[in-house]
Amino acid sequence: MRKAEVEISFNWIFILLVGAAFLFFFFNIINWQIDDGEQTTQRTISARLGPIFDALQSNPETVKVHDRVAFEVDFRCDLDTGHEYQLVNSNQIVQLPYQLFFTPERIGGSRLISLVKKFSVPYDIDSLLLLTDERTEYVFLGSDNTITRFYNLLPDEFVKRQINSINDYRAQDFRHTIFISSSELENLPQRSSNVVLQNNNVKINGEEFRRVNDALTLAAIVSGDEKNFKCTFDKLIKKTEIINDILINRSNTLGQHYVDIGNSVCASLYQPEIVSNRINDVITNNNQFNNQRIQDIAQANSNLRRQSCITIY
Amino acid sequence: MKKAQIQSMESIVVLIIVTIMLVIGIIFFSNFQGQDSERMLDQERELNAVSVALQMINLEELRCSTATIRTERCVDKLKLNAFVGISNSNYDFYFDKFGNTNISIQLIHPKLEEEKIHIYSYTGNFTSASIHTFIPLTVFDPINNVRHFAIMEVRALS
Repeated sequence: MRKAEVEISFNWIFILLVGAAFLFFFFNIINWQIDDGEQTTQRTISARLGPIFDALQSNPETVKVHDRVAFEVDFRCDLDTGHEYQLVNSNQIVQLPYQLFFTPERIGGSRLISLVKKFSVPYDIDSLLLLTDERTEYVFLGSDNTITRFYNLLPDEFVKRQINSINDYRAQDFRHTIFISSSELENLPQRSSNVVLQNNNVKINGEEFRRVNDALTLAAIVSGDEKNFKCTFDKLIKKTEIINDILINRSNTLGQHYVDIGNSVCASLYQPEIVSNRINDVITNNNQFNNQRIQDIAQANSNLRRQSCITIY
Repeated sequence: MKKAQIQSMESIVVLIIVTIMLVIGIIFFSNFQGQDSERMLDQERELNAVSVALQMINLEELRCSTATIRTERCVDKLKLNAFVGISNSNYDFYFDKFGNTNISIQLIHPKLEEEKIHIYSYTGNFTSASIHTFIPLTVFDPINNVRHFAIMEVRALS
């Protein structure tokens, strides 16, 4: 081979190598940008969902059907990680340390439905966000009073129906079905769970909780998942404890104020055994709500109002 | 210098220039990316400050209420005084909610001796300048039956 021929071959090999290096470099940059873009979108969706949920929660007693969302969200709760949500096929996990959201295990890929209920014992504790979607079906079994009442309380925007018994149930194309019944069901169909409404308790897949009011019972129905429900229930207990402390402090100040100004009627109504101790007993030692104490406080508040004293709440 | 040597030199110079251009491109690109991230962080801090302020005025712990009437943007002074101590003893709970912020309420009219009430203070370290959000509200004193016009200030720290 002559020298000129070697030189030409060398130039071509050089051009090929440099070209390949350029191609490789830009291909990697494009790939990295696409991945980064997807992750940014998922990160943005995850981060923005929190404030959206918070905003929904600040409008009590409302029901809304939201636009169809393309993504699906998993809600989880366990002892190690606490309450959290994660977009399906994403590694972004968002913690829910204080939010009072009651949801099934997975929502999304369809229109979301939200219901906000005020939770009071009898003073307001917070608003509960009950969030589900059109791919979750609520089937009320039987026609006894409690079942019919909660069927009517669940807004029509939810995918719900009432049938006589589980034998009349024909599976449709839902991601999950939640059966609401007055006694525990055996042999549940696949992708379903069971919420049992008893006199004083509600049982979600066998786990029992005290029925305090309609808001919390609706929350159990909408969630249909004992772990997620328990997590939010524990946060509700914590929030109630804090509000109890504030109201006890406030009641003691008011009691002392009435003693100082010589108003014996209001001072007597603010005695600790009538107000502070009862507020303290709203939550029992085993972290349940005490319905009797809730009624006592409502009564004490009416007595104070009747005597034109400043009320507890 | 022979013709072949000149050609080789030319190739090397072209290679060096291309490499320099590539390096400049990468530096420019990463600077742009950095600025973009900084801008997104600023945006998130602003959103967070507004979100915290909205959560704070809707906080059930402080809200003025009677059993029948629900007053918006109104804080009960007795609850506020109790909350100052309680938020410190439940710092972890409120840190999750309010994060790296300092929140205070300033009574504007009628004024009291203690004009500014600090209701939540972030106890960790922070370096950069803060974003301020102000929200007007009413502080109701049930004992004296007085309504104070007040401003809530949320300082988002980072």
